[in-house]
Amino acid sequence: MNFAINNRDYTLPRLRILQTLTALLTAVILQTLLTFSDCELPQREGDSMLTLVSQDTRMVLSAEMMKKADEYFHGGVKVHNCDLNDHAHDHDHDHEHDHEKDHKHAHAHNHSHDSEQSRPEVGRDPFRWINRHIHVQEHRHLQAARSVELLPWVYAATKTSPHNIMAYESGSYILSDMLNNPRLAVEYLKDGIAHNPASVQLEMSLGELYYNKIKDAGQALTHFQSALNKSLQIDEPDEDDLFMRLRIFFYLGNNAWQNGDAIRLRSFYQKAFELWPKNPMTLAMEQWLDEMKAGK
Amino acid sequence: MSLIARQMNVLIRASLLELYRRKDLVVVFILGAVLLMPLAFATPFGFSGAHIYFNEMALLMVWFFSVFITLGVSTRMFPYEFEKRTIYPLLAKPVSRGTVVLGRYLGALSASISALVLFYAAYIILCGVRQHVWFSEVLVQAFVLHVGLLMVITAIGLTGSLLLTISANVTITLLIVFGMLLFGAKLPELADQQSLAGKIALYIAYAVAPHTEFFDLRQRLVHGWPAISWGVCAVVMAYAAAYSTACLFVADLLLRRKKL
Repeated sequence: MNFAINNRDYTLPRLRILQTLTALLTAVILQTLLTFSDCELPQREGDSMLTLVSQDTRMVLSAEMMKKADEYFHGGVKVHNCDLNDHAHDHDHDHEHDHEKDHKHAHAHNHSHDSEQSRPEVGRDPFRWINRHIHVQEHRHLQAARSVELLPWVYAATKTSPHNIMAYESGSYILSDMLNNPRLAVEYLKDGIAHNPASVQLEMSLGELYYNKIKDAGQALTHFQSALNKSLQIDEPDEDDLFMRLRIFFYLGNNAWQNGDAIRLRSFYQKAFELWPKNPMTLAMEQWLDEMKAGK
Repeated sequence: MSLIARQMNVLIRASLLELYRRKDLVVVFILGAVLLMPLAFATPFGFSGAHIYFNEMALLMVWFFSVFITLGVSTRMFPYEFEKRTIYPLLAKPVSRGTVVLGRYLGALSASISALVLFYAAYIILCGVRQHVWFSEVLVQAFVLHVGLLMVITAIGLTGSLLLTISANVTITLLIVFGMLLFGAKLPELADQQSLAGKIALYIAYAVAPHTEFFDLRQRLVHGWPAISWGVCAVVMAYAAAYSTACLFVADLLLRRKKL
């Protein structure tokens, strides 16, 4: 384009006008957006926009690192319906609850599931045939002795975002169950609780660790009680929160049963019954009550 | 030695000298060392003995650096020749334009492969020292297929350099290479979810774009899966050779039509 008139080049002045207009337009748009964000978007007192954005980014990164750990657990293969968290949520009590997000309580390395990646037919597609041979199609589970390979990602995930509760849960499972180091898992969970003081889940996991692995009922009881207090502070508990509360009642009831305290057991059973009357955990507590009545 | 072989020899040697003169490799090695050192000494939770993450990161760097070196070499050749006008004395000699394209391609490829050999040597030393495992069949296959990848990238970069500016060429080639690496295998499934126009576009991309994912044996190498059959390896290398040849034909055509 030629802006030369009477042998004078008007290109530069016109470009400067265009630049000024663009800058002004950008300023107006930004002003409008910021005004909108002040009035309309939910604000959290004390947190700047930058803090919120960086926290979200860190959480996303942390979640991706946990996905990587899960991939390592399956021999570098992305498997969608069998993840490390299923194993991390393994509980050492004999029941199978009817919760919507039931985890089936599988134990590491000896469970079966149809989790092979969906495989479209190769047909006459030579590219797909090559890909099928190049990339691994099946998956395997990392042996417990090699689960140290998962630790760098778990460590990085919680360092990236200390609010990733699932990472703490998975990490404690790897340390206590796969690497047989429950003391280290306790320290790790305590670190998680320090960063997430309101988390019922972490407090519960710590209680379970003391109860099932370290066999320290006293410490376990302290943490179950703490978990119950935190759970009762939730204003509008959802299904998951209520299920967690049921689990706390179950453990507290189990402790009461083992100590022969029928009054405490009945109290926890009644609370559990109000939450989930037909749940196997509630029914187990009912059975303990019957046994105590029968004087067994 | 025949005339063409001697001409090729000169062009290849010039490309190798150019790569090592620019000291890109030194920069890349220093960068790699800076990135890998903290990882090498990390002991999360006090446990040492985690190797997969280190191997994966090291191999990822080998991939990134080799692609960048290859692109750097292949995309700069013709633009610099045109800019410095060194292409004119070259074409004034009894050398066909096809020979120039092939010579430049082989020169860029040999420079890239020489860098790749250094990268893999560093990788083998790093992993060998940490794990006491030096060679495996998958490692050899990974190297061979990596050479195949460089064949394709060099051909694309060289062809693009006759059409685009260096920066545009590098950007587009990078997008194609990494785009196909990430989504190449999933394109048919993605296409099936699109409307007709999108479906056609994605199927054309699936047929025409370079399948860089064929050359990626990192998963098998890092996680200790068995090697693939050498027959499949040969098929992938044949694909690389065919794709590169097609690109070079286009490059030859472009150079013939180019007004000098």
